[in-house]
Amino acid sequence: MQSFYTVVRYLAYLIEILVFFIIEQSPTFPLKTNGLFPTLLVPAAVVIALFEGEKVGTIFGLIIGVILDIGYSGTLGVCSVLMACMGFFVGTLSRKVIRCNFFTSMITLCISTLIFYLVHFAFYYLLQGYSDILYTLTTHYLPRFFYTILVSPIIYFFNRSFAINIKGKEA
Amino acid sequence: MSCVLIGVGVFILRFVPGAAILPSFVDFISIPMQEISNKVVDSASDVVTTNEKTTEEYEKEIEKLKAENRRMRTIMIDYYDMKRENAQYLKFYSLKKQNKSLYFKMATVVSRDPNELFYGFTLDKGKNEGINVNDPVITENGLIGRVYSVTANSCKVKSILSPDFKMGVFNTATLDSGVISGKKSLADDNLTAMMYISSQNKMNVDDIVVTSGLGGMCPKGMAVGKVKEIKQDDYDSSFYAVIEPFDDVRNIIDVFVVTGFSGKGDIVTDALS
Repeated sequence: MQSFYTVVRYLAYLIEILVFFIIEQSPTFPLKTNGLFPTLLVPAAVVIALFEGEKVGTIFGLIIGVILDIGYSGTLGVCSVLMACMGFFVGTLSRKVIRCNFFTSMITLCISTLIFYLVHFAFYYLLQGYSDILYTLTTHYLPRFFYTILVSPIIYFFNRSFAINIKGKEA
Repeated sequence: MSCVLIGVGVFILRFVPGAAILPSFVDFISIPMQEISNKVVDSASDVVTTNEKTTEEYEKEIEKLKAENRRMRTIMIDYYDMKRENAQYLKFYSLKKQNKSLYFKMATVVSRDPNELFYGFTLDKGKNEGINVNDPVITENGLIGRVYSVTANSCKVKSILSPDFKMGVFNTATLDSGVISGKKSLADDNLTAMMYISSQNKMNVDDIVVTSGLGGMCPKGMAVGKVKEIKQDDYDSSFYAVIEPFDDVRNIIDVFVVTGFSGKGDIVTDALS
């Protein structure tokens, strides 16, 4: 019975990831302002790792990373590795170091999102040799970081409801 | 007694002069009243139909009307789709008329990745439709990008605003040549740059820039944009022109992918990847 609830919960996470991906990729979604849109998948990966631990966090982090890579360039790369590692570290953190509540989750989300954007900036902009580095950092990455943090509480409570409600009685 | 009264009455009406006005007087009073009562009855019969329906019949009629409404809604949706498709075919026809040597496929933008910095996008056509890597992507107004990745049913396009998009172009008025290569600061305003132009250039604002056709990547003479400004590069002494494409690349929806044209050459893909 416990495993049935676990499978249902994981299916719910997968559907959530799919929906977030479709929303992000939509060319005419209303939440886009001046071409900026929050990255919904990164908070989703972090929150799943927070509630489910390191193993499940790594797997879902890898899935989300692969989806991010496919959506961006079509080739697997930085995002897959980064999100898998992030899932592992956040999962370990939530199991062994921190107590998972809203405050600690938001701090973890802020740090993880910042790391994601910095790595993305480094690999997909800096190392490509493009110009206007400071301009891109201040007009693209920083606003997107704040926009992502703004919507993170919604994703946190959404996933928290999965973790709490789709859970069998512990033996 | 009654017979006597009746007889007297008949005698008066028949033989007494002036007694005929009595029926007229009765008509004078009764006819308007009859007219009013007829009108009331007619109005009532309009409201209350004689052919009364049952509740089940009304319910059936409601269901029938709902189904009719759904059918009409589907027809309306199809109508809007057809209207849009018709507009696309019109653009297709006018483009083909202007460029008889071009072969192209119509495509629609289905996704834009938010991590894409230079407004690249994904189209709903791929290898199955004959699209290949490096095929130019255009609209009826001009060039807007090229295909850089293809799968069976979709392809990814690098826009003209990207620094990775490099295309030989020239100014139609002054014949000054250069290379289109974008910048992030310009891309956000739907602008790109024509780099490596000569310091002795004679370019002016509003000059039209078209593709040179060199390398066989794009047909010659394809409109790219107009000159908005001519500036000196921040890092060296070369000049570059700020080019404004004829379409808003950041919000484009319907495009054409050029799959064949006269002058299409063998491209060294290694040099471009």
